[in-house]
Amino acid sequence: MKKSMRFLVGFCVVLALIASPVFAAGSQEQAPAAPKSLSILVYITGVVAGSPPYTALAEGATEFAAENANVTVKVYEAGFNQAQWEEQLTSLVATGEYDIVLGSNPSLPELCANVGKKFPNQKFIITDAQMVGNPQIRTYLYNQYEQSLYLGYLAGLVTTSNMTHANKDLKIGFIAAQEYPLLNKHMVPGFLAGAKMVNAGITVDFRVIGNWFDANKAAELASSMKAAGVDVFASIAGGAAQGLFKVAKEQGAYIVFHNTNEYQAAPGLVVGCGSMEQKKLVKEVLAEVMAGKVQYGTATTVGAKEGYLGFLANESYTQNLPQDIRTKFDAFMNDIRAGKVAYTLPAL
Amino acid sequence: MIDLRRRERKSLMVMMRSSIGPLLIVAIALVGVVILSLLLSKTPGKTLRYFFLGPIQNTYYFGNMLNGAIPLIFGGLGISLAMRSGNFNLGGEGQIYSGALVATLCAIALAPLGIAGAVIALIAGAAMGGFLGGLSGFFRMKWNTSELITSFLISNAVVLLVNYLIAGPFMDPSTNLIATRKIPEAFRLARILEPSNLSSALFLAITAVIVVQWYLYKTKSGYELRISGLNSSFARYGGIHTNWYMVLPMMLSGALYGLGGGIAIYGTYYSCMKDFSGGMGWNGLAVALIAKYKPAAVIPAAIFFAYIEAGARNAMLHSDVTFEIASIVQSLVFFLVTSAVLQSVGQKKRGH
Repeated sequence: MKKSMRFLVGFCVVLALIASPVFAAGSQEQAPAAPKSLSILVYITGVVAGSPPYTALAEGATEFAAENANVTVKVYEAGFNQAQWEEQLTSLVATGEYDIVLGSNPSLPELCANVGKKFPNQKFIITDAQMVGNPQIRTYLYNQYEQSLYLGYLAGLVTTSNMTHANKDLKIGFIAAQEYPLLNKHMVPGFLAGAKMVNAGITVDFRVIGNWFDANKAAELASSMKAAGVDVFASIAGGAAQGLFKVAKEQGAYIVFHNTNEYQAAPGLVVGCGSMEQKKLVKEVLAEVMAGKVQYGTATTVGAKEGYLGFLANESYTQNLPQDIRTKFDAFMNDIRAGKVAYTLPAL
Repeated sequence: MIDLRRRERKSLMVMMRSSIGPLLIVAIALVGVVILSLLLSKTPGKTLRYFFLGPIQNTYYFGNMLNGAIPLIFGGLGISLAMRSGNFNLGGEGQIYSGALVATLCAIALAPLGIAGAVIALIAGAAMGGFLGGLSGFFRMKWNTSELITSFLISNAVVLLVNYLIAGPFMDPSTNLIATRKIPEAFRLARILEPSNLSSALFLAITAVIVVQWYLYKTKSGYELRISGLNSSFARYGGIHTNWYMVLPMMLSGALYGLGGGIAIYGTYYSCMKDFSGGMGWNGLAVALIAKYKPAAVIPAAIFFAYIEAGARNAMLHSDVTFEIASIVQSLVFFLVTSAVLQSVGQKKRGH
């Protein structure tokens, strides 16, 4: 016992000796960045591979750096453990090497606000998120209610059609990786509202996987929903969406997809894909940063009218859907782009 | 007087000899870091510099490294207690995670009680871990099941259940993260090395080490626990109620894990996030193995493990390696500490 206690006390003394010079060095963390240059940290809350929005984010910043002198970019993948995101971001910001942190995730503003309290000179630009009033943070929110509205409208047209896998139940489905305010308040309600514009009797079967990677669970949910009468699915599930594609191919169901071109994930069954002009937005915002025009503390919502959300009406779309559905949907999309479709954007 | 000095010198020699094995393991692991850096990095010099010096280059990294050691200290203590009694607790993952969830939920519910609520919530978290650990001990006592298997299986099921509870009924609808609501601000432990996450939880961890050390070596129950672990037949013939020492150490072990989970919430995370404790249970086991189940040695062992993790993170931030380098080195340590040959290096052979 005595030996151990002696060892413990000795260890604490050694720890204290090591700690004192280390603590003294702590104040050198925040070196200001050189003027007329821009050092960008692209902070990926997940991984780039398999995520088109993150790929566009990273590519947008990298291309901007290639096109502009004195701009450097580091792309950092923080992985899927949300509990580690804030600490990793703090570690990166603590280096003092980055003029701005660029990210794209609805959860980032609250994490950046926490990190910003420790490093008041750090600036953050976040897309696909919304926060107003924090002088360190500038956000751009894609109008996902609007995108869900027109994808829901398309799902409504398909579920009420005579297409091969469409049934008589007025039921569409939405599989999400997790629940979060943007999903609950914009995406799912927008999807249902769009479908109800086709037929007010349509209902949505909403299920949650619990993570962004479990394709097996997504497949189980999709299978169960299909058995319950769902014939058109939407999904915000990251890599787990592979489970939905598998079930759609095996059992026959249609899919509308947000943000990215996934027509080839289930050929003939993915009947519509929304688009999100992440790269375009990133490059424009970075140009504003270089020009010193970014208004931190403000938030902007961008949608189809502004050209940041759209619909991929390519060959697959033409082949997968009959003419009458396409005609109705194209007219609806034109109205959306022209701002002629009336809806109330719910508060987040 | 001379005899006393001789005895002290002898005991010092024994301690040094018994440290050779663990030190050799640490050295091999660090050589592993060097080899991996040479193989995986285009700038190995830079990678190694940040790996080895990064965790102590400023207060932020240093504080976070120590903070990372705190749950490992609780885990290491929990395993040490179980192993000293001859029990295996492989359920650390579930015990720390469920302890954290229960502590968080109780803290939120007991907010009006102030400091008493905070203490009760922590005790509830420890009780949750203790219940899970004790369950395996009880099964062993009652039906002679292997607590190694049951603790592992129960833990696996509990992790899934906690995941469901966090992502489902207890998820905070106002956040974009998969997490519960946050505990009251008044319950959060004070930060002691801003801007790092290091909090006064460090003192709680050191206190836990002292208490476990005292319990094992200064109390009758601790003595009986150790004797039961060394030779249960001898202990039984000596009048020790050995069945009790199948349940109690497992319960205490789980309670320490649960307490570690609760303290991680109070000191670092403030809400129970999905998968926040992933790996802490297994790393606690490795820490206890390096420390050879000696409570006082758990602290340096935990810091060593946290140092590897912090070093890998630092290297990843500043060079071109991925965080997997830490997982590989930790796996290497795990593999090496289970080597009886390495553990016994430097110790005199007996029985010849």
